[in-house]
Amino acid sequence: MAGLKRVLTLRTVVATSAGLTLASSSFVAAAQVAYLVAGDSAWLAILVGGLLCFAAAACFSELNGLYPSAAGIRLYFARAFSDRLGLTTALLYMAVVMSIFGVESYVLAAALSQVVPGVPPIVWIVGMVAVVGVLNIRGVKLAGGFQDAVTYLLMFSLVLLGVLALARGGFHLHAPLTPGPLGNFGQAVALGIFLYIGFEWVTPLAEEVTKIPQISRGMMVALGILAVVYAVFTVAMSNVLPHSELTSTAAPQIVFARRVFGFGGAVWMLAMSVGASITTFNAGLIGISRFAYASARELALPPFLSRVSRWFTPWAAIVTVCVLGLAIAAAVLYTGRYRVLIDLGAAVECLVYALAGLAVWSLRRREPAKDRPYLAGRSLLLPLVTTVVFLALGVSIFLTDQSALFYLLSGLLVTFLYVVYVVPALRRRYGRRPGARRRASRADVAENR
Amino acid sequence: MATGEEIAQSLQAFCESYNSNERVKQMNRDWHRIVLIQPEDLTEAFTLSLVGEELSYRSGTADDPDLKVVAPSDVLADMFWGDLSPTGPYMDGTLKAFGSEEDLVRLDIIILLIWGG
Repeated sequence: MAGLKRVLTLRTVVATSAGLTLASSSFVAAAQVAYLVAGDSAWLAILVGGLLCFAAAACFSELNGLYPSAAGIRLYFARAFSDRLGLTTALLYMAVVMSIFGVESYVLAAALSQVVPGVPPIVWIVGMVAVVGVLNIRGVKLAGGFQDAVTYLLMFSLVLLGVLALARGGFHLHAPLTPGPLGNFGQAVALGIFLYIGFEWVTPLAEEVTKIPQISRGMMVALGILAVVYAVFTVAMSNVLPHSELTSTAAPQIVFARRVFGFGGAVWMLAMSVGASITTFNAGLIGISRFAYASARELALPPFLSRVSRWFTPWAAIVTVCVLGLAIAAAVLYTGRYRVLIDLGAAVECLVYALAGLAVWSLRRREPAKDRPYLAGRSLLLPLVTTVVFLALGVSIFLTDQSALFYLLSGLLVTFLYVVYVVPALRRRYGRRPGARRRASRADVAENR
Repeated sequence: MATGEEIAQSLQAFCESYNSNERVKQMNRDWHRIVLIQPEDLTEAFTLSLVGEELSYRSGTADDPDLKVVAPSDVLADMFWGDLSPTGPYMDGTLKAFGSEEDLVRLDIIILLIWGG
């Protein structure tokens, strides 16, 4: 590829991949993983989840090498299966990510309320969404250096706090190698996938690097670091807090930090949570609003979402995402049912990873001659194992949370019907008429001559 | 397949529309970029330069572009004439773009503002 003026470094690729993944809601999922297994053996489930994500990352790397595009799964699945399936999956995935946006603001508000009581959580939620929304509409970009610094500081702090907490207890771990019943362990691994949600969102950066394999390396390094960070921190949480307390709060990290390090520890952890949420919010809002804008431009979503501000930002898409995110956060706040969205997020992620494995298989069959800078193994073993394992993990989530299955099936049905009936209607109504072409066709030119 | 001449005509029309659109120029006053346009089925390439407030094009490549757009010649000609939204071919993998994502979004928005939906 011809040299571009600006290219991203591996450091930024790693920070972006890890930064998108590290969020305040990750602590809730980590606490749930620790709750599902016996003693302090959560690290086993987290590491196994991380290893499985390596397999998914290998599949994403192959797909990204084939199609280095910000369109991501929308493009991979359209090429591998059909345009309808690509659009259905992408729309469903974005809807679920928007739900996680709501969960994230709820969890952060819960953390803030623990340290700064007296301010109702809804005030924090509205304030955060409004600030991030306005910054995005104005096109104010978090500096890459700031994002990198927050991510690396966060990961370092989590390991440090975890090790210090374990040191206070003399590194006395309870049953670190015996996770208990296999069924529970399987569910813990499946839920552990939530901890890594978003690592693959780094693939849009493929357009900003000169060497595509750098994205693969960045994803793998980020997964490795995250696995260690989560494992240390979760074991420390489960070591310090009784299992019953792990899932009784939406901000277990603050309870843990306060228990071990007092009010100062809680404030430090709160600062880390705010940093994690800001980077996740910002990246999430950018990603979803740009997807909504692009979908509106191809008339897969209503065209009003393609309206842009004087700062060259898709303001209608940003406002719509903020309003929907706010509505979800308010619903979560009102019902207190945030765990079902975490389960749903983990299940949809499992589904997407399973489809990524299938897409690798399908594209090797459909486009065997196309250049592949990265291969997820020479044989089809890894992609097919990825598909089978992630499907099984998705099913294991539904075994304990039928409401997540209900939401997923409802979402799939609505999205599929939308793609089959509404999208063609939008295209018929707003699509450009062939007669309105500005470029003269060859036939016109020949006729004029 | 379009010819190099057809792509040049589309770029000419695009530049003229841009330079006569005061609103877009005003919005874009702080954005100076070099965009390499590479038809994948032709040997020639084109360079769009936004320097100051004027957008211009020339035949030939740029050594150090901010953005690189690669697509079949037909797609490029239609896109710069405003007959085709770049999003469709981008989403189906026909059009490939390299550079910062913000710059890519801005280029798409400029096309939207000049030619409409």
